[in-house]
Amino acid sequence: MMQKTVKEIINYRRPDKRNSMRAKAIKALAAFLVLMILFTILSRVARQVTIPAVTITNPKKGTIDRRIEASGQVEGNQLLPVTTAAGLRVKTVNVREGERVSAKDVLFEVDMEDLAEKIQTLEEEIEAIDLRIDTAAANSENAENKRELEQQKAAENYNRAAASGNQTVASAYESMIAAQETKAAAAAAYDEAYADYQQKEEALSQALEHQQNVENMISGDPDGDYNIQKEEADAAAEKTQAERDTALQSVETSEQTSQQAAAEYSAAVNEYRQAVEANKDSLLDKEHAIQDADLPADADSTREEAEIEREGKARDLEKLRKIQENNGLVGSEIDAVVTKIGVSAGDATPEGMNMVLADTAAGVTFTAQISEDDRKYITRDDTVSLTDADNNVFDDLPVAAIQANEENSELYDVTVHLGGNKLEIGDSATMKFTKKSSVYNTCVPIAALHQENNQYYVLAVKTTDTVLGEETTAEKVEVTVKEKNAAYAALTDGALTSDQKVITDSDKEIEAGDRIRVEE
Amino acid sequence: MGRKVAFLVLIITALIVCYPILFILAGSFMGEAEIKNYLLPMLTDSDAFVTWQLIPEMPTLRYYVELLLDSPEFFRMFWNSVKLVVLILAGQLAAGVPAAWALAKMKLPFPRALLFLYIILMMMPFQVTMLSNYLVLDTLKLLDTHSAIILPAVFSTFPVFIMHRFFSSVPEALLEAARIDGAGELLIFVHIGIPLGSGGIISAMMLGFLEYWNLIEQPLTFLKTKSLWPLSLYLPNISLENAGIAFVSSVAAFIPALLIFIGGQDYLEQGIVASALKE
Repeated sequence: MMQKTVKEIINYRRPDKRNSMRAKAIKALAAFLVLMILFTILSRVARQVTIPAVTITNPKKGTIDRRIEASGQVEGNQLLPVTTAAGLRVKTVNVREGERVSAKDVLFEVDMEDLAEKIQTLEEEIEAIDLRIDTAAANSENAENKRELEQQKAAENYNRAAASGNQTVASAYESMIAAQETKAAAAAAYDEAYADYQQKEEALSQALEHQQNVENMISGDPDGDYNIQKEEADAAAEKTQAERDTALQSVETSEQTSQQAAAEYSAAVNEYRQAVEANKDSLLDKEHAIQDADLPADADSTREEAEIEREGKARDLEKLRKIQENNGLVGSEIDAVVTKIGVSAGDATPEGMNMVLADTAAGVTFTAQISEDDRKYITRDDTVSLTDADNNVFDDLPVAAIQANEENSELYDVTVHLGGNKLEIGDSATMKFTKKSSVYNTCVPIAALHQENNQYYVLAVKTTDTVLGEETTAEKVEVTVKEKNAAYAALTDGALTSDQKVITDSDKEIEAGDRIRVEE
Repeated sequence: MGRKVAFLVLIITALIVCYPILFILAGSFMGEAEIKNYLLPMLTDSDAFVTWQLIPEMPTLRYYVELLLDSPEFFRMFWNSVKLVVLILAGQLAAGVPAAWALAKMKLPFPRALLFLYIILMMMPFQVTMLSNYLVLDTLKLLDTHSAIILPAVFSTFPVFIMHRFFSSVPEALLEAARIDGAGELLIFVHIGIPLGSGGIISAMMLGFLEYWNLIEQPLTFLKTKSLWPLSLYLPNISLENAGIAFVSSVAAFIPALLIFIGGQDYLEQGIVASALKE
């Protein structure tokens, strides 16, 4: 009994109406866990597939070598133009650009008929010019004769005027001298009359004084008899009075005469002066006339111009005749390479150059264009290497010049002189130059460098502790580029440490903060 | 009539209680635009209230697919949680069950004082013991390992307390009879104690599961390495921008707890009752 009870107790099962419910819940939980296992695997696979695989590298110490490569052409050092008379019809062109020609090789041929016509036209033109020259010469001689005549006339007029003027002046002078003498004589007469008058005046005053003395004696001695004395005194006074009056009259008369003579003299002086002035004026006019006549004839360059024109035409004619003598053939005078052709068959020869030849004896020059950026790294006397089309390499060639390109201001022409028989005119070649930089501590491959809004940055590998363990993500590190070339960029120190890894490549596009998988 | 009213009140109350779950379920089927539209007031710091609809306007499984196929971190945390819970519960079975049996049925010195100590320790919130825990774990070099969570939990007092209640109710006469029949103490424990206390054991395990499935403070305090974190720390790591993922992961975290609850509902009730009984 007891055993049975114990067994019941041991095998005791709680009566549970929710048994089936519980079983279902437990099954569901199991299924849920299985599902979770499945999705765990799936999500990890998906993550593995979607995470970009990246290759990384450490920033290294190094140099940023600048490699400059530019292709260019070999040109002649000395370029010579080939010219002929302009306007000749070209019959055939016998060379092509780049062709090598020897001295006396025919470059092109002009049409002989056209040439003959041109020669005839020129000859006629020269004849017409000759006529113009003759006419101009005759005109010039006539003008010269006319001028000489004028000069003669003017001289004659002058002489004549001078003679008549001088005569007038001389007669006026004589009149003036005569008047002067008359005046002097009148003055002397006056002086004489005046002296006489003064004597008479003195005598009168003495007579009057004596008369007074007598009267005083009479009044002092009324009783005295002084009649005789008085009568004598009165008579003497009266007589001297009369003499004096006469002398006075004589003075007045001579004074009038003297004044008249003086007036006549000054009139004569005036007349003389007027005659001199009139003579001067007259002579000045005539002198001007002579000067006018002496003036050179109007400049006339008609003849000279015509002569110059004739010379030009004659030269052209000379050239044409030379070509005619050569049967219309224009040849090279030197061994050269044709670098430019300005004529074509059927067209007229242009003004100026018809062809340009590069003298092979003068040596050759290689010229290539480089960018403004590259210009900073290459200087004169740097040595470059040239590789021609057949891959022949010519090393250690010094740069002769670097000049701004005439057509494109952003380009520079690098010139290298080539000695020997390295390359020929017209050959293409590639110039190569490597500039070593100083050593930089932080150099990264250019593939690691990105740019956004003018700011360079690299994506560095950042290890973060996440729920899934240590995870690597891409971290944006802004950097400053010191120098870079096509392969590497040197960064300023500080932004990156040498043990910090930067992403150089990725199988998917990545941005800062993205998870990444580093492929070793 | 009275029954109907009571039923209605209960239904309404149940709906209110279940609303958070319905809310999360609805959110897990919404698209990004729809969620953002509803949660906009939260994102923009405005004074407006968040609105919600229980039926998505444009249902989508997008976030389920994203969580299940494109979120390995979720699974890492999920399995961390599973590992923690399974090991803790296994440890509690190994340590807690004999302890509870000993406390209930063995002649120990000062049994009441011992039990009182257990209850005191059980009452202490984690914040109180955190520092001492930390120091001990540090000394034992267990910090930042799962053992830092597992070991203290294995020796937790709560399951011992629950199981003690159940083991105490096993009749003393039954044990006496077994002894008379010659059964040793181990035999009695295995063949009588465990079967009769199985309800208590299961309910302790249920309560333990729910507690350890939702651990937050301990892993946050003791685990530095993110790859060791349990699922309960997944949600706090999701920004509001990824609210859709948050809803779905909430649902996924909720499912095992729900299934455990359905499976052991009655044990759970017994356990709760047992823990509520006054001494």
